[in-house]
Order: sequence, then structure tokens, then C-alpha cells
Amino acid sequence: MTNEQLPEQASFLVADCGSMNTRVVLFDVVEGVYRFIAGANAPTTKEPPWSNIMKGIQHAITRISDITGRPLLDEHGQLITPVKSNGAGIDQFGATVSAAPALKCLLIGLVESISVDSSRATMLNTLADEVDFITLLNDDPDEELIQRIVDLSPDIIFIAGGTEHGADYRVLKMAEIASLATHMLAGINQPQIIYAGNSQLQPDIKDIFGAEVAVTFADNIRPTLNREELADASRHLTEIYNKRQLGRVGGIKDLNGWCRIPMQDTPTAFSKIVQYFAAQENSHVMGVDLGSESVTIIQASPEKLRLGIRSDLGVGRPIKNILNHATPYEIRKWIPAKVTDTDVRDFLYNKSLRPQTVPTTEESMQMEQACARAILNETRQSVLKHWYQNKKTSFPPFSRLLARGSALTNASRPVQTILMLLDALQPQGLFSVSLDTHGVLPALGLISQRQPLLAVQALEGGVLTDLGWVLAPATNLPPGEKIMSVKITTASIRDLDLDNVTQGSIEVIPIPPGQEATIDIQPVSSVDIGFGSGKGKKFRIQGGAVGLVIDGRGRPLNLPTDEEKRHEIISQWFWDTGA
Amino acid sequence: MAYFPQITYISKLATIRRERILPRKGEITVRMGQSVSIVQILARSMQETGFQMFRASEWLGIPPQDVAQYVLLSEGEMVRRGMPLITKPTLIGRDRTYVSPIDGTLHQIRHGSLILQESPKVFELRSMIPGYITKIIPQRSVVVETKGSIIQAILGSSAEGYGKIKMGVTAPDEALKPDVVEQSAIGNIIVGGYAADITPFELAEEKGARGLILGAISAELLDQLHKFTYPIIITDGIGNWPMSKPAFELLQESEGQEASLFGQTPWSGNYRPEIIIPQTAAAQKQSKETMVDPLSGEGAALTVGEHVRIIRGEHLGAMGEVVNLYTQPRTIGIGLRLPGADIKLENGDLVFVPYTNLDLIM
Repeated sequence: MTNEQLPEQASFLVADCGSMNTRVVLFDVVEGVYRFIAGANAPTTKEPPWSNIMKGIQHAITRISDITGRPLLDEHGQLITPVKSNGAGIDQFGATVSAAPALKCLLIGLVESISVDSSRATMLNTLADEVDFITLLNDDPDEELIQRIVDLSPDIIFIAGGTEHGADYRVLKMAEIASLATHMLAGINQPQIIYAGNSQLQPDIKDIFGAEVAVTFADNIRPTLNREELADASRHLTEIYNKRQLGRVGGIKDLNGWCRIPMQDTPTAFSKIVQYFAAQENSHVMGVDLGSESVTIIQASPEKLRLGIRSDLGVGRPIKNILNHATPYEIRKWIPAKVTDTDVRDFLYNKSLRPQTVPTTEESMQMEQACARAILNETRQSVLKHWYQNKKTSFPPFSRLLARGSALTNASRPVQTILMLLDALQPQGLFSVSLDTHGVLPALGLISQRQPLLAVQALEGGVLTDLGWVLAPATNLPPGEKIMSVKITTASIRDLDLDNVTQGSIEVIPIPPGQEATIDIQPVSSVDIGFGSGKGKKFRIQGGAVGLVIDGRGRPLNLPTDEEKRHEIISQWFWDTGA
Repeated sequence: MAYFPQITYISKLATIRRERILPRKGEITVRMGQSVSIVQILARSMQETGFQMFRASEWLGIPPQDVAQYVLLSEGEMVRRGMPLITKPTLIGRDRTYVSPIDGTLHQIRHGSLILQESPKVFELRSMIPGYITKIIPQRSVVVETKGSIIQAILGSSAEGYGKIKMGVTAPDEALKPDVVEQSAIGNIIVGGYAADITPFELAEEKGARGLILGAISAELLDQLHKFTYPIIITDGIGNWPMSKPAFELLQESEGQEASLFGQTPWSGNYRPEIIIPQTAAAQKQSKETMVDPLSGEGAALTVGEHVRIIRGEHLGAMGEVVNLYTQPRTIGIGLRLPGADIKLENGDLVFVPYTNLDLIM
């Protein structure tokens, strides 16, 4: 891996190795501008019989060669680089990886609602899972605590607690317990220690763990009771993930040998492109990646980036874990057909055992999309809780939503994707929705850090699928009551007047891709669409695969508890939107 | 453009290599090329046991760094229950003494605390299949090679074991009845199609069954599988799945033969649960041999003529033969465009199935 300056106008091949699928995308210069040329998928080959991710990457690259007629690998399966005079090969290669297992983290803190909660917020910034937590309130005997840690065999013991310059030494007692357990695990899977508590105790912590255990000291994640500082601890966690977990993936050294651009974990690369959009558009942008073995929600503004990763959730192997957070009813309530709790459980376990399978019937698709809603909703709630310390129950308005992940990109109809996102994330305001159908966003995020021109030109070339726009006011009026009127003017539908948009309704106005429309929104006096109660505004929007979705169902989105009424309303929404 | 699907080995005769791994570093007790029996011990390691922690500085009321001077033993020394470990004179003339509550060793004296470790137990790694040693990684693992039948499954209860195969049902979708378990459990591995409640599992435990093999179980039972001491293997899925026909027929053919069950769960490791039925030399002569070696690092591409099983969708569980492979995606009934293959089902119907919903049976 080198850090050399990348030459202008080079061709790029980037692999994204997920837990289930490997995606390789090719960018090159066409008539003076960068364009997305081709992409191909292959199953990830990290598990037996291959146990080497390079096989899956080579399979996907071979498919790109088949599609484009451009040889990219030599007879030994090695990358042809740089580009030869006959057009074979590639100039630059990069990779993003999320195929490695998440870090298993044991959290130790003084109080669950303070230091452990801040530790949890830190975990959200990287591919890390909380396996357990221990606080001062835990009254188990010391030897039982040690045994618990030994049995859990965590990758990381994350210790926090005590405000900066505070005089609370009780965390040292718990560090002693962790130290003993760490020594017991020597030779099996000795955990790494991250200390992110009161910095004055660092010498004591060092002494407790002794010379044979490496302790990483991070800035105190809770320097005062009212302030969280997660960046430094998150950076250390990500570094450990890249070293410890990626190192366990077969073939990673060979992949590293191919990379001219430093390898990055997929959520980080995705966050870079979301941040890029926020900077380009000078507004707030949301990113959602519903992956096979992790879910990522990103919120970016030109000044700030927030990352929320749940690596215990996903639509692949961990799909069954949603039962730890939602009842089968909370999943099946999104299905417009009669489904039992047993059907939901059976589906979740079978999908978890065979995560690569895809739905081929409407019923199966609806079940998969209902699970996607529950998983996204759980992720939404956890990131809101940690980003805003329980002070907000919804995301602040944003102007664009970028969505990726096979459950979102492989819907039968594009409006299903929008409906899933609206039901689960419950966003509000007026925003556009773009779908990463070609699986290029992590690659663009990776390259944009070195060659921003490529990202600009590839995005201008239309590499994303624009689904359209959503207008979703956060209203809570009685059902059927008028919330606003909307006047839509386009070249194809002239002056469409929706003068009675009511609470509880949802509808889709088709505006084809490539067309512009003007929408004039006039809310009733009690409704605020972001400019003050009763104040309206005109906007110019662009068409897309869906068009304009006017979601008047209100926030929070409530479903009737009565089974019949719920079926009726869900069926109505599906019918009204064409989902 | 090759497609590499999920592979499930269900083979009458195969050369099977299995890696047997110690949970922690230890001693390998076999040599390369050695013939081993099903119960042969391949390696040993010391298994960590419980320990006790005694906060001596608090008990004595002294700073942690002063504790060592009152401890009568050094770290690593053996201790016996009742043996004095700490003695400190008191002002009234009587010594204050702490005696060991366990047999074991004084593991550490740290931060004013004594850590006592109970005497470690020896962990013995058994072969669980008869065969030959073909690879040894010192202190870590041994590869055993054997010839026999193999059935790869979808889910296991984590336990391992061996016993004689006893069919508890006559059809792959038949529920395992409690009275059948009651009659045939002792010393046997019982084969059933489906189990909807816990009764057959509890009876199997009570009657001394050596294992249970089922096509499917109800999702509600999953959390309870680990509590049984015998291995449980689920070959096909959760809910209403019949056992796959090739697996069921192979088990029927093997009734009365000794089988080894490896019940590892796919959620905790890389290996799938497996049923291995070692074959006699005479049986080996009558069968066509395949090679099953998860350590080889080679997968198989899907080709025309191969046998596959449909693992999701309208023809769930159906067996068929690949008759055409498509490189370009095709539109399926619900509107998705997916790459896949035409499959001729056993009833003669021809259906298009996405590659991801196929299980290659080898």
C-alpha cells in the first residue's frame, strides 16, 4: 500500500468486500471525463471451502472483464497494472471491507446511564458490538465477574468512568477485575484494553494491567457530566478493528498488496461520500446502508459528521437478532396480509441460516421488507438516543437521503424502497431520495479522499438512481383533517392542484426522471413545514423513478392496534402508493 | 461466467478430512500416519477451572503493597483446602490467619488480593471418527482423514457424539413421535422428519439417546437445544421443511451403522454441522467416491447436469437438475431481475431459480 500522489486521469477499480457479497466497480475516463464503466457482484469467499476473500474479488473482476471485454487479471489471477497499450489492466486499485467480524466489546463503567451509555455511543462509530457491561452497581462476587469476562472472551475491554480531574477512584477496582480476567485469557484470546476515563488515573490503570498487557489510552469520553467527547476513543477503536479484525480475514494481506489507495472499512468510506454531498450542497444529508451484517445511519452537514453503526443487526446472518429488540408483532404489523408470529420467527431463522437467498414471491418480499423496517427503526432509535442523549425522537430535517444495501436496492418497485425508508426512519421535511443501485458509493467515498474529480464527474454522469422527492410534514392532527394544499407544475402535468392533503394520507405524483417541477406548498395555520406555522413556500424539484411522495401520515407514525383496521390501513398505503 | 453457489455435501462415499482443534495450546498425542479409532485421544490441554479472589488488604486493613509480607506462599505454589495462606500477628497476641478454601494453586498476588485457582482439569480431544492422521499443527490441531458417507446440515446444538443410526420415521416430513423415541432411544441416534415440541428431546435425554437428527424444528425450540447433553443436528431448516430426500435416503440406507455427529452451529464458527458415517472397505468398493475437504480451499462452479435443491420460494425443498445457466439477469414474477438457472424438477416441471436460492448437492 502506498500513499503516493495519484496521477490525473487514471482508471480505478474498487472492490467492496461485504460479509455476503463482493462488489467490484470500474471507473475510467471517457471523452475527457470520469465515468462509471461497469460493476459486478460475486459471493464473498471468506468462509470455507475458500477461506480467502481474494477468490470472490477475482470472480467479480472476471465478470467485469466479461462485460467490458477488457482483461483485468493475468493468467495467475493477478491484477494487470498499470494499463497496457492494448487497454488491458487498471491504473489504481482500492478496497473497502466490511467482511471482518465486529469487535466484541465488554464495557466497564461506573454508572450505566453515564459512562456505559457514552461507551455505547462510542461503539456506534465503528464495527463493534457490546457483549456485556459491568458497573459499580453490579453486586456479583468478584470471581463471578472474572469468570464472566473469561467466558465472554471479548476482543476489547472498554473502560470508562469518572469526570476529568474528578476524584472517583472506584473505576480502579473494576479495572483490577478486568486485569485478572485479561491475564486468565492470555494464550487464548487476550483482549485489548481501551481506557477512556478520567485521564488522571492513567498511571494507575497502566500499573494495574502491568507490562504484559497493552493498554490504549484515549481521551475521556465523558470529561464532564454534560459533555461527551467520543472522537479519540472512536478513532482508536477503528484502528484496532482494522488491525485485529481485518487481519483475521483470509486473503487480506494479498488484497492489501493490490491496493494503491489505503484500504478502509465500508461505513467510513460511505460516510466520506455522504459528507462530500453535504459539503457540495451546503446542507444536511442523511445516508443509510442496510447491509447484510451491519446497518449504518450517517448524518452529515458541512461542519459535522455523525456515524451510527449497528453491527449486531443486518438483513443477513444477524437478521434473527431483531427479535432481541422487536416482537414478531412489531415486524408483521407492516405486512398487508395475515401472518403469524411463528411465520415471522421461522422466516428470520431460515434467512439467518441462508442469508444469501432472495425473495421470489410477494409474501416473501413483504416479510423481508417488514424485517428491514424493524431493523432500520431499531437502528434509528439507538442512534437518536446516543446522538442527542434522549433529547430528540426524530432526525432534524435534511435535503437528501442516500440509501444503499440490497434490501433497499432490490425492491420489486422503487416506491417500495421509499415506503420502507419513510416507515422506518420517519423523516420529516422536504428531501430527495437517491439509491445506490450500482453499489458505487463506498468506492466513490474512498476515491474522493484522493481524487475528488472522479467523484464529481461520476456523480454528474448519473451513477445514482434518483427516486424523487418526499414531502413529509411532522403533523399530528386528527385523521382526515386538512394539513396543506400543494400545487405542482411540470411540463407533463400542468398545475396539478392538491388543495386538500389530509392527515393520514399518502400519495405519489409521478414526475419522470429528467423533468423538473415546481411545488407550491401552503400549510394550514396550525402546521409548520419548516418556515413557521401556516407559512408556505415554492420549491423546484427534480423527477425520479417514483416522483413526488406526499406523506401526510404525520409523525410519529402510529398504526392501529386492531388487526383488521391495521390491515386495512397498511393495504390502503400500499394501494395509494403503488407499493 | 462461473457462479459459485452454496454447496451441501450429501455423499455416499467420500474422502473426508476433519481438523480437530484444541481449545487452547496443549500436547498432541498422536503421530503422522497413525491409525486412530473413534474414541482415540488425539491431544490434551489443561482446561481453566474456577478461581477465587480474596481481597487481603481490605481483610487485613493494610495498604495493598504491604500484603505480600504476610503471605506464606509464593505465586504458582500448590495449595490445599484448609492450608494457612496469610498470617498476621495482632495486638492481642493471637495471629489472624486466612486459610485456603480450595485445592489448587496460588495464581497471583495482585493489588492486595490473592487469586487462587482451582486445580486444572485435563481436556481430552477425541477423534470422533476412525481414520488416519494426515496433518499435525504442534500444540494446536490434528487433521484426521477417513472414508465414509457425509451429510452436511444447517444447524447443530454445539455438542458432538457418536452412536448407531435408528430411523424414527418412514417419511422425510413425518413428525418424530414421543413413543418412538421412548422405544428406540437407548444408545442410538434417532432420525425424525420434524419436531414441533420439546417432548421428543426430553425423552431422548431421559432414555439415553446418543443423538437426534431432524429435518426441521419449530423456531420456538431453538433456544432450548443447548441444554441437552447429546448432539442434535437439523439438516434443512426452521419451520415446515421436510428433510431433503438424498439425506433421508442415505440415513435410511445407513440404519444400524455407527455415525459421528458434529453439531457445531453455523452462527458461531465457519464449519457446518455434519453427520459422518464411516464405511467399511466392502462398502467403499461398491460406491463412487467424491472428495470432501473443507480445508482444500476450492469451491465448485455450478454446471449443467448438476443436482441442486431449491432453498427458498415457491418450490422450497424441491430437488432438480440444472439444465440451463443464464449469464444475464432474468425478470422473475415479482419484478426483480436476477441471474439464475433453469432447473428441471423431479416431477418434470422446468422452473427458473435465482442462483442465490440454489444449494448445490454434491
